[in-house]
Amino acid sequence: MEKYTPNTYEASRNKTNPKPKAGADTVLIQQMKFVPEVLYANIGDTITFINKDFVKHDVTEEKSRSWSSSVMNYGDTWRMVVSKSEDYFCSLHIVMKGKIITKTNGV
Amino acid sequence: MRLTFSRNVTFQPLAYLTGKHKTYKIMKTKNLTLSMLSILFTTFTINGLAQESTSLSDAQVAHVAVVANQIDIEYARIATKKSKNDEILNFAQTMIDDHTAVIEQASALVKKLKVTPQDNAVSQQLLKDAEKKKIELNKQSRKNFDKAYVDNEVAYHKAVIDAIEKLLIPETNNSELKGLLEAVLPALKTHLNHAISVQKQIGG
Repeated sequence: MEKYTPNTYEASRNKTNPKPKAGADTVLIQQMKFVPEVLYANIGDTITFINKDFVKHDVTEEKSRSWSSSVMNYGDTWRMVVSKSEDYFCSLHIVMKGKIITKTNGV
Repeated sequence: MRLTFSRNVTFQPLAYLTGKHKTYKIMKTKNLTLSMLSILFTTFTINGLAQESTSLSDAQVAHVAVVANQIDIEYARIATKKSKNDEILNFAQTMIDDHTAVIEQASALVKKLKVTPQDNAVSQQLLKDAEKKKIELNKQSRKNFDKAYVDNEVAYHKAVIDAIEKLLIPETNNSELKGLLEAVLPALKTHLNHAISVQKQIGG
C-alpha cells in the first residue's frame, strides 16, 4: 500500500471494490474520529467506512460486538448494510464512537 | 560545542534514521539546559521552564519525536509481558501499533526532506528518565503493575502532548514536519482519553 503522507487524503485502496465516492452513506475515519459521528440512514442502505488515518482502526458494534470490520489500515474500506439503529466504536481506540440512526425510527 | 561518542544502540528506529548505528554527534542545544528539560519531562509540566528561549533545529525536533514514540512502545512491551488484564493488554498493543506507525511516518518524512535526525539534550533526558521508569515498572508486582502502567501512560501522554504543542511545533520551521506533528496530536489525545478510561475501569 502507498505510504500515507500528511495532508494528502486519497480514496480507497481496497483492491476488491471500486473506489467509493464520499457521499451521504459514507463515514470517514479521520483524525481519530468517525465523521459524521452520527449517520442517519434508511434500513437497507449500505454504509461505507473509509480509514483516512495512518493508524489502524476498526468499526465494531458497541453493545455486544455483534459485528466488526476487523482491522482497517490506511485507505481500507468496509461496507455494511443497515438493519437497525446501532452504536459502534473502534475496539482499538475504545473512546472513538459513532452512531447509526435509521430514519424510519422517527428521525 | 560538539561532542562525539560511541554508545550502544538501543533504539533501532533512530539508528535506521541516522544511518549511523554506533555513533551520535551531540550538539549542545543552545539556551536549553538540562534542568529545564528535567522539569519538562519529570514533573510533567512545562510551566517551570525558565523564560529563556529554547532553540531546537528541525533535525533535533524529528529526533525528539521519534524518541518520545519509541519510549511508549517500550513501556507497552513491558505491559504485554507483565499484565493479565484484557483492557491493559488491548491498550498496550494499540500503543505499540500506533507509535510504530508514527515512527514510520517520521522516517518517511525525514528521508523525503533529506534531514538526518540529530540527537540532542531533550532526547537524552527523555531516554534517561525512561530508563528509570522502565526499571520501576519492571519491579512492580503483578497486583500493582496495571495501575502503575496506566497511571504512567496518563502522565506521559499529557507531558508529550504539552511538549508537542508548546515546544516542538513552535520550534519547527519545516511545514511538512510541523504538519506531521499536528497530525499526530489527535492520536495522542485519543491515547490519553483511552488511558484515562482504562484507569477508571481498573479503579485507578
